[in-house]
Amino acid sequence: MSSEATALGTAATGTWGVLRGETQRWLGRRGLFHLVLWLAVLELALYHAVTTKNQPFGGLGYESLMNMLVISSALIGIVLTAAEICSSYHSGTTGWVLGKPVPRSGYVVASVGGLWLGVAATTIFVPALVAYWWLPKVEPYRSVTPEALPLGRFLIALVLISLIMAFFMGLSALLAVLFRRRSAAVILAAWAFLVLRVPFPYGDWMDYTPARLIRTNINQGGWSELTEYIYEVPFDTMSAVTGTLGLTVAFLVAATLVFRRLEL
Amino acid sequence: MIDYAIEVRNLAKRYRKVRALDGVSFDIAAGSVCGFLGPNGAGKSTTMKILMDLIRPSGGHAFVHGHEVGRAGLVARTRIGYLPQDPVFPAHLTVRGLVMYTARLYPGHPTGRALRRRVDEMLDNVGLAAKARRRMTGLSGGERQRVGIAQALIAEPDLVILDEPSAGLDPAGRRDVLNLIAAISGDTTVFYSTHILDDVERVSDSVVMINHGKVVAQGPLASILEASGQEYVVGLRGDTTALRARLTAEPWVSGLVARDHGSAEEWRIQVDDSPAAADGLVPALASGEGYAVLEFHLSDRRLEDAYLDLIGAQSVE
Amino acid sequence: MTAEPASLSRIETNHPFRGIGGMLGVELRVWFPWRVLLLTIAGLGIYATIYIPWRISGVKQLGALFLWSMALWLIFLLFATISLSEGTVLGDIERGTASWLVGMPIGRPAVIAAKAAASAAGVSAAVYIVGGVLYPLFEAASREGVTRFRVDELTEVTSAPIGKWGVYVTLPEAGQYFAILTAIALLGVFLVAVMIALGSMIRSRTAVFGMGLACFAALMVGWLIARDALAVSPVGLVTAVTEGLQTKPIELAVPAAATVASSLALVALATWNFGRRELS
Repeated sequence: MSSEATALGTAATGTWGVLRGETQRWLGRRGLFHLVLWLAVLELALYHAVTTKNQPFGGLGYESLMNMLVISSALIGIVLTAAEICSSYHSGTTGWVLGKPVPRSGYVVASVGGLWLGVAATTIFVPALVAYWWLPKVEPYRSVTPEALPLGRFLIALVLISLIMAFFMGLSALLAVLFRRRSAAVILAAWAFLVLRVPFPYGDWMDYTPARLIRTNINQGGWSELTEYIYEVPFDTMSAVTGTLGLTVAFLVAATLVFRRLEL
Repeated sequence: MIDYAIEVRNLAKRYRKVRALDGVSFDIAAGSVCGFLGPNGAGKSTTMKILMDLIRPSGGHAFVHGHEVGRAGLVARTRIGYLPQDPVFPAHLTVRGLVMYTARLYPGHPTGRALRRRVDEMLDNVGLAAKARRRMTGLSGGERQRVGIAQALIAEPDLVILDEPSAGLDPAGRRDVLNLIAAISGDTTVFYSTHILDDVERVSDSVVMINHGKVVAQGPLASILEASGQEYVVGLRGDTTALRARLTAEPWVSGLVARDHGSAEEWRIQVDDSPAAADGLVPALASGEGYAVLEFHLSDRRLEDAYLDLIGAQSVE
Repeated sequence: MTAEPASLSRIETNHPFRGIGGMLGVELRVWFPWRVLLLTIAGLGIYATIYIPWRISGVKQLGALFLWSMALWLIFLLFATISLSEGTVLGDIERGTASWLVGMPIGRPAVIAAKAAASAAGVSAAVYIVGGVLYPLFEAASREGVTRFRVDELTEVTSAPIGKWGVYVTLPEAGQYFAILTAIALLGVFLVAVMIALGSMIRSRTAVFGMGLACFAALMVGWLIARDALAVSPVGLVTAVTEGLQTKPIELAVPAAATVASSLALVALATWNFGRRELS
């Protein structure tokens, strides 16, 4: 019992130490850089999309916002996860950390988890909340919908986008530990994103993946499930949410199983 | 009963057709300082990485403070401080940040001011107090090595495993590392690899020598030196042909190296039976004619001599 | 003391592009065959991703297959180019390979030029290989189902988007298709030049990647909002691709020349930066 408790306590301490280290990185230059960059890119692109007369983007403010957040967060998450895992592995930093009392599974989860928190904050929440503030102040929303949409629902939609990003980060982590090549992990994970994003049906199984949440029939005036949720359309895609969560966990578990066999 | 910090039994490691380790066995007593010696590619780093659970052995077992590596590696590492060869640390961290990050990975670490004080003390010990806020990318190779030693010792481990800790250090840095090792020995077991044999002689209690994945010698330093035999230095002038033939025929002479110094010669006579040599060498020198003995003394055998004898013999085989 | 004759080897040693042949050989091996293979498989994978549901859908309209495949292939290729190129310069600097290289009699401009040329060759090869494989597949698909139709004649809307790309969508002729591929390849070459220039200036690979993505986004946004004003730029190539996919006449020469010129300028900038950079 005492050695079990010691092992669990040690694993928790080591995992927490790595997670803390990863999240602290985002409180410095790295976080500031990403925050400024993605605020500029997303807000400018959204402003143009909302105010342009060039269809199909013009006027669809919240739909455009949800689309942009999904695309940017997923791709950024994929790239940063693959970069972090591969560069640490190849440089030897991973070997150095695992020479400390840090469990391998904890290292993978904490590294990806810390990255997820930082990217979610700088690429999803802050830009989205800034847009939430100014969208109702510009046309066409100022005349059509003077009040902002419910903040609670908006925040839950952001949480769902974070979950979708976690899905792709988990996939990227698995590919990164499998191939140990940044480009292979990024390209394959990006291809998976494309498959789930394009509005072509592959079967009912896609209802248990992020596809159900992020696909949009924009050309036919439809909204994605996320935007519908913000506009208080009843949410009927819990299967997609649970499926996405389950797949994310499965990717991370698979990544830790592969990582435990790696020689450093 | 001796308490062992490290116990290794028949450790083997194969990389496809290459046998990096082939039945390595040794023990390191707790509280001792053990030098781990061997040529490049002998298997030193491989052994250390197995002890740190970074790579899996193909066979055999290794125990650290009674915990089997592989099964209880995580618990074992709570008592180990490790410095890998050519360490690469996260570039974004400062010197202080790295040592603090390391400290926080160990259970029971100090917090708040106590942690900062401990870190500052450690940085002072390794001579990096003035560079505490510098990022890792701004350090020289030797400074990175000092940071490496600081992070290995910050958690006050019971066992410190250092893979070539003096690499890249200037003489003052090397001296500081040796002083640190000497200071912590007794309470802490130190297991370190190096190519600088003078350092091993200065601070080590015991030595393990490895070559081609096999242990060629292990034990207390004094025993290693004694077992490697003695060497007499004799200066001669004249016709020494007959004397050479006589001495090389003696069973207690294991080697004879002659060097010319103008009209004189210097002989180094290695003997593996000290009493027989003590009885036989002087009469042999005195009995001949046609030469004069200019110098005669017993040379201090150095670890380097023993190392070259053992590793050199292995290389020939 | 006799005067030393003018030595050809001494002239060569001082030449900035000395060693470019050897460097080019090394850099080409980075791209050929595995990276080009990876891009080729990814491109064919994208086609398969669109083709499978297209095949089983009710209305086999070529535009849905052709336009979606080519559009996604373009976006994916440019993204993959950015991803594969972000470590071209910085990766070598971080690993220490760059200092080892320039410690030999290899001119620093030769290092950059070789990397740029090899990356451009690799990206272009992937574009033409995938494009060449897909054209007969599109031709076969165009014989399978509906290739011409009018939007108002359709009474049933399927899940495949019909798109606002144009009412009539047919497969471009081979010459036009080749021009489209060339435009895509030149866009890839431009992004390679951007990534090499960024790598010579910025110290973080992730930042290089982010800036590369931002440049890619700027290209797309430029096409969306000011394609006419930016016709004499790489944005003009995006216009050429989109117009060409709809079998409209395309203007390729001017944007191609502008893109080549800007790519060369970026490589020259990278060469200048790399020449001044301290390699430790």
